[in-house]
Amino acid sequence: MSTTALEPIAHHGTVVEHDGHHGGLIPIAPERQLQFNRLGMWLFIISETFLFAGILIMRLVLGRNEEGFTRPELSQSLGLLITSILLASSFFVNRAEVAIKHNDRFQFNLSTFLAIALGVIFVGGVVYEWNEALNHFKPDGHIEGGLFFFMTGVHALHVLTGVIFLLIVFANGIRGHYSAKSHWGVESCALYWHFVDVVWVFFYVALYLIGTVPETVAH
Amino acid sequence: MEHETHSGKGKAAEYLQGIIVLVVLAVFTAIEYAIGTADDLPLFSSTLIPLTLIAVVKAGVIINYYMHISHMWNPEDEADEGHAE
Repeated sequence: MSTTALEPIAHHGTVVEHDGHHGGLIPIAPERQLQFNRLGMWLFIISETFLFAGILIMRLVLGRNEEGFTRPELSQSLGLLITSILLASSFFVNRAEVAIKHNDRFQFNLSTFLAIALGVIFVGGVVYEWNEALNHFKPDGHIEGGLFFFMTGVHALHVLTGVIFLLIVFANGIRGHYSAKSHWGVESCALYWHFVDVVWVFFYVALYLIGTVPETVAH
Repeated sequence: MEHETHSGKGKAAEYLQGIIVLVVLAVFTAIEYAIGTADDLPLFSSTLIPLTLIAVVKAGVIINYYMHISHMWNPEDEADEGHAE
């Protein structure tokens, strides 16, 4: 059977490390390998955190005038809707992870599918918001517009990556590749998806809620 | 048989925890929306502080309950959840 990067190869004790004294290889215990996998994933998440924190600081520094923080004029109801959709998708990803931990394959496949659907709807909502926003301001028109398109664009790309990640996990799940004892692919995908959700928690506040719409931006 | 019963209870509890976390996040999001769209805030001159505080709490809830950050330094927790290797 062929293996892919997301298949649970790390749990069978097949991974080895070098023995410094004899140049040979010694096996790594599966539990330890899982800890290494998690450490690597969290280090990746931390590195991504620096990127998004930088963007967030940029928004707070640039998106203000002498009266205080400014923001582009956006549809508040649409912002709330897509935020709720992303939170719901995180719920289903968590549900999928719990399901596979208990070998509940039907719930795992169903929850993963719903998470993918909600992720796609979220991206669709962002694209719709872009179309609406373009009627009022351009990315290069003023700083609020530039920040809005940049922040939502970078985040939407990460959501798209997460959707692809979820699709791979879903396909593997349909083929029965995961089990209660071996599902690192599901866990890493869930970690990534929840991280993207955490980023949006801050981006939603920064883009939609903080500050006022300056008169030069209001239409 | 005993293991199956224990596992079934664990699954139900974990599903329930996921629902509770979702409800908590929804409530905080509604509060954020109310603060962000309010014309006048009685306690704060700027919405930055209360909204940032709520966002930090929401992120903490997701990181703790959905991302299980404690598994990094306390993998024994998983054994209790039926996730041991």
